[in-house]
Amino acid sequence: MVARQFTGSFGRVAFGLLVAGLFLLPLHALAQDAAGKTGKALYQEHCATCHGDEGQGGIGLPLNLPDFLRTADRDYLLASIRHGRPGRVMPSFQHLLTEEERQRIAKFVMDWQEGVQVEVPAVGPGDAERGGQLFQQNCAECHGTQGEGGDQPKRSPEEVSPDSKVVAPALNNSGFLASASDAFIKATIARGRGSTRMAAHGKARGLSDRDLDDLVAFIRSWEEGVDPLAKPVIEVRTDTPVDELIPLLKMAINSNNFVFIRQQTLYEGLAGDTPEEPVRVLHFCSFGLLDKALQTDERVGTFLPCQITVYRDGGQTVMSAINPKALSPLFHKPGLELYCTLVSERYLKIMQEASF
Amino acid sequence: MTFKQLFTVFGLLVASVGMVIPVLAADANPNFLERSISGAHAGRTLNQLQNAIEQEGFSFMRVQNVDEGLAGSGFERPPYKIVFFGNREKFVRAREIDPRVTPYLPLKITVYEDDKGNTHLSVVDPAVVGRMFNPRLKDQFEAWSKALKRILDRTTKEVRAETWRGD
Repeated sequence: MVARQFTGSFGRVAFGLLVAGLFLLPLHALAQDAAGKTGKALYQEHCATCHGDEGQGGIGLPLNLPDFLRTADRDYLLASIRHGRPGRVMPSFQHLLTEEERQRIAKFVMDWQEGVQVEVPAVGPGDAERGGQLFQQNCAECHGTQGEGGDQPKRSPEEVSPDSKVVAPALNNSGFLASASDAFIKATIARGRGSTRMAAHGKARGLSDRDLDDLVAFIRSWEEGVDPLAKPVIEVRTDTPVDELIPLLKMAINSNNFVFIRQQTLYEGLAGDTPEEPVRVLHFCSFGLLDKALQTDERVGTFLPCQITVYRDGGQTVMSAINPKALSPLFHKPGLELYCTLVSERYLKIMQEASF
Repeated sequence: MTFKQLFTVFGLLVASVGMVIPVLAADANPNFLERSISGAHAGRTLNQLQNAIEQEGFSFMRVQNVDEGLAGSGFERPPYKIVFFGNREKFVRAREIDPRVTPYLPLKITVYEDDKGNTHLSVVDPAVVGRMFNPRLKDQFEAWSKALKRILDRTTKEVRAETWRGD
């Protein structure tokens, strides 16, 4: 009996690994296809759509700006490609490209650099509270009071006007914070970015070295708890009206290998006549993924059904979903985390695609 | 060791196990509210669960037949249902305080059978979920936690009584 139990457990583990392998196979195959490509070819394939053929920018930020290339180093580019910008348009390429391919792309971009790399400034311990006050006075107008950045263009690169090609980046974004060193942030504040609205904020604007350190400390303070996949809810906001967004969401659901099941409202079936604010709920499922998750822990009904709610808040349309990744530690089942993370990432991708 | 001593040790062991097992069976994972009913079918449990939900003052909304959806895609498994219920006014109020709770609504309980014919009721404890939201919602989530415990206990008691009577 013990042997049979062991065989059963072993079989489940082996099957789980097989399933994980099958899921990762297409990504691996994709990476294999790209194995022999040059940095330029990989850039054209994965980056040019947003950043432009020559790095001139469009939906994504311009990469060929002299000030940017002299300030950013290869580590910053590599980390940005790896992490992406969760909650923004830039996806994570951690599973889509190998480390070597990401390095080829980073080198291709770095080769646009002309002139010498700027000297990296020393960064002292800053006062985040004081930095917060300086941020509101000097930075919030473009980067937002919470560092959320400007609205990204929604048109194709060639339709984006030169004035709107450079959107103030989201400084509170986990991908940015994981990629940018303190020295990079300080150098960027001090030097600004030529050809953009980002002016040099060093001595020219009356900010001392200590002021810059305080600003860096404040921006770094967003590192805790800003990852959208670390919160109980995955949420993406858009200016698109609800009725226009719903069909886009359905398309994104299907294109991410989920089956759309039905649409209803949150209060459907509830007694009472409280004025109902329209909250739409879209149900969908990946039965294969669900089956594997149920084999790992039958209590995953907590996350079911897969759903995205859509409602208006603060003049915007909000898409939100339960975040399985954030809840997975509640189960005390490490094996479940893989599935929870996959679903969380797909929820975010669906919302990003629909709002794009 | 004498026979009497052996008997005493054995008795203590039995008593210890007897005290521990019920604790393990109920809410072994403190983040979840869980109950198990031996030899009960999910269908019988669903009926009693609906009664218990309505007795607790909630509106019963619907049952999602997850097992049927899975079977339609070629994945066979024992009955697996999710029961949705709630209170419109409480939901509206909760969303006013913190709209992020929206995807966690309505309330739900999962009912599923294992391959030995036992039925399980399971739900993540609302009191645990509530810690992730605006502290002003703490009392509401704790009230839902208590209500859900009562619903699970009442359902378990009624189904066990039916099973015992052979209804």
